[in-house]
Amino acid sequence: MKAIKILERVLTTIPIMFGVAIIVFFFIRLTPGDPVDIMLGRSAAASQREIEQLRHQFHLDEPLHVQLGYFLGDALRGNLGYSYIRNKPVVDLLVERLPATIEMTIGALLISLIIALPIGILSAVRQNSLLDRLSMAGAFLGISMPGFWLGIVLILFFAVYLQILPAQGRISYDVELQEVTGLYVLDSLLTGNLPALKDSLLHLLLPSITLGAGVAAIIARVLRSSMLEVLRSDYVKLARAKGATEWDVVMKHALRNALIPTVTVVGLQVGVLLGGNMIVETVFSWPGLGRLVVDAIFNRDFPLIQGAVMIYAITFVLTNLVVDILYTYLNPKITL
Amino acid sequence: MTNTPLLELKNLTTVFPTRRGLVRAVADVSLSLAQGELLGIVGESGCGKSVTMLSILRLISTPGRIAAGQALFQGRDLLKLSDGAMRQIRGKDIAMVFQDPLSTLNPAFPVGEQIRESLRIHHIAQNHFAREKERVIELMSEVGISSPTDRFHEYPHQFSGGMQQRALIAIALACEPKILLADEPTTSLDVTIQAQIMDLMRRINEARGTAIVLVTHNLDLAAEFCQRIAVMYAGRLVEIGTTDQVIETPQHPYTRGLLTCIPRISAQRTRIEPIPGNVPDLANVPPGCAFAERCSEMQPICQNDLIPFFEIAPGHLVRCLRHSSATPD
Ligand SMILES: Nc1ncnc2c1ncn2[C@@H]1O[C@H](COP(=O)(O)OP(=O)(O)OP(=O)(O)O)[C@@H](O)[C@H]1O
Ligand SMILES: [Mg+2]
Repeated sequence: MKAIKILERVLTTIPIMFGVAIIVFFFIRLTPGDPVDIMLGRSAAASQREIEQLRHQFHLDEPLHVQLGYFLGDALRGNLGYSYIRNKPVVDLLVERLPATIEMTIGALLISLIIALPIGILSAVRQNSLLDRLSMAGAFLGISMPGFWLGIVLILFFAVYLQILPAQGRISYDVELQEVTGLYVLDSLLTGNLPALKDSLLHLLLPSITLGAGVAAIIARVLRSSMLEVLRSDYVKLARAKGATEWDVVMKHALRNALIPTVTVVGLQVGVLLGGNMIVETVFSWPGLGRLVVDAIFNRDFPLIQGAVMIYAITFVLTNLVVDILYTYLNPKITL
Repeated sequence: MTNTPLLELKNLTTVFPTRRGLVRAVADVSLSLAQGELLGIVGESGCGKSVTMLSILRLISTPGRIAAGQALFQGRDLLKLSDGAMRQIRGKDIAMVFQDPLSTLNPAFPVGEQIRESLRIHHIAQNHFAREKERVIELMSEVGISSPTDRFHEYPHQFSGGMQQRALIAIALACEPKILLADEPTTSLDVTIQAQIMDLMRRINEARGTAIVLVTHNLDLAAEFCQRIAVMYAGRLVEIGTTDQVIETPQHPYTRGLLTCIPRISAQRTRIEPIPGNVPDLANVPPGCAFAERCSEMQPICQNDLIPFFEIAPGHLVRCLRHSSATPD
């Protein structure tokens, strides 16, 4: 029953993706700047004929609706076109860069949960204690600190001053790793490569903290306030009246309910993480999607931008789906 | 019957610091409950009935606190027990049915599971799942939840209000407590269900000798159900006696006021006469008798000092100066 509903939800993402594709297509073309100009800009003396030729090659001389037709037709066949600048199929570029971004996003999400869950719970249980005040001040800092700044500070301290963590890249040059999925941590686990596991985890640490700090702060605050509300509820009193231990009262009766609003926020924050990637990847020279997209935008590399935005949209839709499924487990009143 | 009561409150005082000042929600309450007794606590909304019950179980949440007094259970002061020892008593020896059934079950867990938890906490069925489940189903049918085997796995939102209240009673009864604190167990339910629930509680009292404290603002209900009644006003007890004493010969003007508030069709009197005036702010209870301002028989002396209890008949105590000729308790 549940499996069918989930499948149904997955299928409804198809028209959503279709809509996203069309919107992205038009929005990119509304932005000022001509890809051919930018491409040829470097060799100032491009002839009119060369320009025409490139335009024709990329179908840019055709009316918009014809261009859209080409794009959608190709996309349906899994072909997202050719990057203007990098001269490679967009799909190949995305496949090459995506794992790095996924790895960092997961790292950031895990780090933010590891930080936020205990802090959110403890500061609610010990409301107004020193711990509560310190964590909420910390959360305020976490939200207001710009990602690039935190990244640079962390690099200066841990990589330059203490020299215990690497400052850039995903893995050291002298560490060998056979790629399976492109997620280095997972790959080193799969191939039983302990040195690579250690090395890739160390590389992942600072970028994940940089990316996750703001999200951790938001999750901690939401969790704290929903825990505070739930801890005042009658059913928590009932649990105590039954003779339940404080641990059970907090971790079972209260947390289970406080997680419901928290999960929604975590889901939304995944979108923030994806956006934050662009900056953090640049600071840490992380070979991910974010940097690719920034380049693509500067160069008006239409097909690449389109492809990347589609990936972001799919990730967002899938995250929402996961949130909805989690929801049905946390809140029995809701069914898919 | 033994001489030591099962539960004895001595000068119990519970306060909440608020912006308006210190709210004395329970002020100097002394009360005793015998084995198997049915005791009613009546009073208007906000007079401190629920806080009294919660204080007994030490479930007052900060910043509220029990400021003074004793709560002796079988001679042991609950207020002096360690947290661990108190947990052993909660749900096992003294169980509580909360006021609002619709918000008291945890929405995230199946109802059967929540009843089972009571058994598990106090190791009633040796933590043996099958035995626990069997007992839960027994309890569910005992409190009148139909097809308990199917409903074991249902969630609170799939239960009606009456059924949720029954489930709460099942939770309270799971460990066969010696005392059941029932805080307005029927207020949110319709009359038929109300009668069924009261019937259920009476049967439990008879079958197991469970002492029940029935908290209600409905004096009629208390009169029908209880052997003794305590009347509470603004955090204080104002009159205690057997049901006959309190209903037939009420001595405190407030108790009389409550009685005339109840519409009695049989007595050709359908007009409800509310007591004029308002309950005093519990952060600012005037000295003397808290009811003085609303009392038609008030004398200047009533507002001077705290009024003691006067015993006007064996077991009939009243806090009113009109009885100052009787011996102060
Ligand atoms: N957490 C709290 N903080 C401040 N004041 C409180 C708190 N809980 C209760 N009180 C106050 O204590 C007084 C007694 O409350 P209580 O809930 O015991 O009333 P009650 O007699 O049970 O009323 P009702 O019939 O409406 O249930 C009220 O005036 C209330 O404002
Ligand atoms: Mg109440």
